Amino acid sequence: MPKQPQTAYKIPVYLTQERRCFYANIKVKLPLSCSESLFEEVYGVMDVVDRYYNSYTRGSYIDQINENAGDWVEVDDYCIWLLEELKQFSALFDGVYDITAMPLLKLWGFYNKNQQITPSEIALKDVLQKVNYNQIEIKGNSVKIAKGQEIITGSFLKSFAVDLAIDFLRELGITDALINAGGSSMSVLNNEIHPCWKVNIPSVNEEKEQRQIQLANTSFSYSAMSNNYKLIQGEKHSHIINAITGNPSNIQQVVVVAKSCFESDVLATALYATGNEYEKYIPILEELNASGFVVDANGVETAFGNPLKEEV
Amino acid sequence: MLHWLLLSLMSRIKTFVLYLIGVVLLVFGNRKIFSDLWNTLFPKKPIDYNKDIEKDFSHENIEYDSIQGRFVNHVEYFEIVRYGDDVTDVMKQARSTTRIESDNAETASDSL
Repeated sequence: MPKQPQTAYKIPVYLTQERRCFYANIKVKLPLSCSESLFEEVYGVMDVVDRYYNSYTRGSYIDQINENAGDWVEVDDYCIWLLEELKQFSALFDGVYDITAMPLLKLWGFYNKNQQITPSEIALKDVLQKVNYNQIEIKGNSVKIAKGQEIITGSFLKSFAVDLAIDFLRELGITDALINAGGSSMSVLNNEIHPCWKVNIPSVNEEKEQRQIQLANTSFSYSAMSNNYKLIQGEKHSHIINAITGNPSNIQQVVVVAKSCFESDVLATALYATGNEYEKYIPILEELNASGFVVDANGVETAFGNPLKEEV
Repeated sequence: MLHWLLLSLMSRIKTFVLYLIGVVLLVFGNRKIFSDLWNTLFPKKPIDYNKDIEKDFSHENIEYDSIQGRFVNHVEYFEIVRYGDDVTDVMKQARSTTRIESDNAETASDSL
């Protein structure tokens, strides 16, 4: 009897590149059929965002706004769109999430390795006066922030760049791809042949195993305190700070899945910043059709939105 | 007499053989002669390799704007805009870092 041919399992194979951008490792996965030169264009899209809007890039629009605090600065339409959207998110979260929180991060020593003391109440009160998204004024294409204020783009810009890169790929007709911005934000495209991408969520509890969720034509963001924190006198302080209280959040983990990477990143950061009051803000995420879960300081997990598809 | 006849005959045979060798070399020594002759008698039509290539490209009509003195493309298209002559670090990073991966799971991280 002739041997039956073995079943051929089709494993999707991708071209992958990883480059440093926005102070993160940005990984791009494209179908094997794509030209390698497409990477140049995808990273080119993100490079433009980095150059024009990153608060850390000298000469960018946001850098100009920060450098000329107190004066009007002419910016482009994208910059206006970003600032208006972010002001709306700040309003939704009662100012807990605020992109003018840079002075707070400096006060907590996130830009000073040698600082080993927590800020005093007086210093906090003084700095909190500079943190207020309402003082970002927009008139036409001009923007002004108050003197002493500083905008930080870390909570949303790389995700905005991922969205533009994903849109670019979609317009080219690519239906299966992944962009992973440092593990904290990802956006994926899927088709019938490859219906989902998988993401491992680290466990905050050593006794529990990591979870694996499935993503399909959506965006994902992750905020936690596993690696990114300030250690002061043996105590970990998260880099995400509640802009109303001025104190770092004590939440352990936030996972948000939303329609755009920009939205999921802002929502994950904002929900994380709310700290102990996170339950009050979950309906906002559900109203925006976002899904995910929060693990609070006590290890209590609260899911919201549609249940995430998990690998068993 | 016989000796003279033999010598004369040999000389003619030699001339004939040498003539034959000459003709054989002339005809078969230049192999290209037949293909040239064939191509002359039955010339091939030249193949236009670029005939269908245009199907793979999109066409955009560029109009000359006499007021502005420049060509204008009315079709919206994606363009990577750059300023300055410098190339940023992200674009300098070598293309040779491309690798092949399957759809293995990505890992979420807050470490950047």
